[in-house]
Amino acid sequence: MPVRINREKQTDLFKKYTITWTPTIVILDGEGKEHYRFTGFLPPSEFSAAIILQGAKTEVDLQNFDLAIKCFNEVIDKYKGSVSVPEAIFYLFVAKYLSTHDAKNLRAGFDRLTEEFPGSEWTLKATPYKLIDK
Amino acid sequence: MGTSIDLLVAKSSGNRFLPPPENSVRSSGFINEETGTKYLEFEQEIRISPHVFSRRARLPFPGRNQAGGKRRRRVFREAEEPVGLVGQINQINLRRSKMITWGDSIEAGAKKAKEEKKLVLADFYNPQ
Repeated sequence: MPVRINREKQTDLFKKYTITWTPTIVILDGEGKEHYRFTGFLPPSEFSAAIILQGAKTEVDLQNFDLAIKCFNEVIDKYKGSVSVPEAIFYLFVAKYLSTHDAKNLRAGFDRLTEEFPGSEWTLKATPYKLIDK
Repeated sequence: MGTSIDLLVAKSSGNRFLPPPENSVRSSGFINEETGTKYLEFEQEIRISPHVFSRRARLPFPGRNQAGGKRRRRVFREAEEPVGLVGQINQINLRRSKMITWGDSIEAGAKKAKEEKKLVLADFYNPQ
């Protein structure tokens, strides 16, 4: 559900959500609870990837793992070269782990990130998973 | 009987969205608020043929001399990237042949999202 909040007309909402810089995109669930946000301008393809990624992360929060995995794969497959891809890979394997409780998924995520994005911060964040047996 | 230059002059009347011409100078631009599309404005110097001069009953024509001379015309070109988040989203959806209808209430958006089992995407923006 797309909603636009005007800084000049809806200052109360800017204060409520502590928005200090625009544009800021906030992803909320059906209860109006904020899950993720990002700030700044992106070119169209990056923007699409970022929206799908943040939406997928929200679905993980809501424990809709199948939908989340589908969306993470969409970012990875459809937006190759996007800056969102390493994060999508990280969370793809987190979602797989949360839905199966099989820690090998985390190790698989680390291996894939190491191979495809060795310099990414998401590879760094996944580093502890290398202790998990394959 | 018109020449190719005559045709250029004819095309240049009004705001035509033509590709940026060679030997042109970028002057300014504007944004279509509805689509967020940015247009760049260029100034191009073009030659006017004497024929055009005579056909227009020798009316004064700024920037031109009796031999035909030169005048500047304004040419607009659509910028490669749409501007602003609304522009980006609308451009993405234009390609999908649909436009987004934006609400202005998070509460109403959340209510609808709950009914349709979707999420709310709130764009906090500065209209200036």
